[in-house]
Amino acid sequence: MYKRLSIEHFRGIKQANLDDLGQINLFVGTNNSGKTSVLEAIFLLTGMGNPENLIKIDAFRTLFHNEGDDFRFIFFNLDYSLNPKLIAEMDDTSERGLIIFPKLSSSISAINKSNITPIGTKEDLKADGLFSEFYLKSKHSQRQQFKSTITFQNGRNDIELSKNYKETIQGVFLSTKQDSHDLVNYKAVEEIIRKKKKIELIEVLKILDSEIVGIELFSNNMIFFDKGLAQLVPSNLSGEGIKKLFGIIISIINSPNGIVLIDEIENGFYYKTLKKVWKSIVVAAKKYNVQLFITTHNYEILHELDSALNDDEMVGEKSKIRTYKLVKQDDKTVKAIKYDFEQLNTAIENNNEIR
Amino acid sequence: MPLKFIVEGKTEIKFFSDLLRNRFDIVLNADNFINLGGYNENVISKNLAQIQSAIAEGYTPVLIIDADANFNDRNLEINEQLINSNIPGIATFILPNNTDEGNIETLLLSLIRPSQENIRRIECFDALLHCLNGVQKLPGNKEKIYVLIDTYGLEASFDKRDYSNNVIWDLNSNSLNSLIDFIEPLRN
Repeated sequence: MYKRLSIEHFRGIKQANLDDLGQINLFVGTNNSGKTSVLEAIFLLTGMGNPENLIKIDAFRTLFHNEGDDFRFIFFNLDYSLNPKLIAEMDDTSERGLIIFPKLSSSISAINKSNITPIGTKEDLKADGLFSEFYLKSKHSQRQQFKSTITFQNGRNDIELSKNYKETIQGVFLSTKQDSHDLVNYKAVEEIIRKKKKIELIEVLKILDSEIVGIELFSNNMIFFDKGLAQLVPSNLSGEGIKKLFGIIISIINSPNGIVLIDEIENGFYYKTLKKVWKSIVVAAKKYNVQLFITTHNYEILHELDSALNDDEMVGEKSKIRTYKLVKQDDKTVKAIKYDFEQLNTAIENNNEIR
Repeated sequence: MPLKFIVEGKTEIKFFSDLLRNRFDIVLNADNFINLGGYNENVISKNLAQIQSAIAEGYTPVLIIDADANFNDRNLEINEQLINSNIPGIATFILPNNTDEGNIETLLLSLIRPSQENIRRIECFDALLHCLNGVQKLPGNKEKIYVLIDTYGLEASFDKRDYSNNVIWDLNSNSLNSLIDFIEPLRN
């Protein structure tokens, strides 16, 4: 699990440190405070061997690459001279780091009448890809260095992976751009059934919808719920909330000892179900030892998390929860102020604004 | 920098909103307050993240707490809490006047305009207290203020009452001098 995270020159964040991460971490803050960027940084670090993730995080924001220079989006101030640097300390005291460099383009467009103005003396650097240098460092061993590249040419991305690196952490990013239907992935459910985890999945879903007694897959990529009726019910007929929770729980079960990142968790959930949603998520995260990173700007989300954890059966989970308020400073460094459960609970009880 | 008043409850939130608007022409809203939910020996650590957030957001924190039974004891306690939480420099005012024992109600009672009618109604309430001597629980200052406002047919609840009402309140009272002198240099 991640214990500490340092982010430098990534997206709109000049610098940020997050300390004492817990099993379930919520990020709150005003618009443009860097919440989603923090999730993206963790996603990149978790899959640091795969440079394709550098394109995926742009796609999550519907930034689709049309040319090599579109890699610029991940650089702070869109400046290729400021290399994104992500470093994390894990709870076993090992460290992992990722530094991203532009693969600057060697071809220069001919100057002709159509592009003659404006002309500056400063070199206008363009990239056609990225280099990733990344490393793992255990407490009593030497740092292991790796490198991968991604290059955009002829309308496609060519990837060169490090042959010696094998990722050990499974990570899943649930983006705001995916609707609840996209989150319920047939193959992921199939994987759960193959691993004989179906009963456990049903047990967690029952916390929100007690009618669900079974899940069945059909060959046409359809998922059905058994709700005790004469016929099975397609999962797509369920409400947005149960579909979204289904997607989250599937991701957790399929990422044992890994991480799940959820951007704007509130989307799709009815506020009256939030307490049960939280219980389902906390129970699943505990069972599969999954670390969660979640953004929200919704007061009810925080209020109902607080309420869920104040129930007797959840008391032991309180110490695993952290809420970080991200505050961007004028110089674009981001301060991450940590609320432990007691501080979150006090703020909510006294009706103080924490988002 | 905008002010963030860190106060013990909703009574203070309404009072300071009305006071700042009346005396300094400063309009405060919910973002300008942290409600501590009362005072206890861990009140700063429980609200530390909230205070740190306010500082990070560019607010000037202003801590207002009650002296209760002993000003000096409360002053020592709160300074120790602030030091232990690594936020020692926060501007702090201890009600009613940064000198004496008491609380927000002590200050509010001192701000009641000394009109004949107000004095009469207060004396009626005091007579009731005298009459009730020996009962299980006597009404206190909170109830005295509530009854005074309520008998004018005005909104008396602690989070809605209007301190700018000149019939009852005098926000230019000398009793406010130490508090006004404390706030004056903080407001820019």
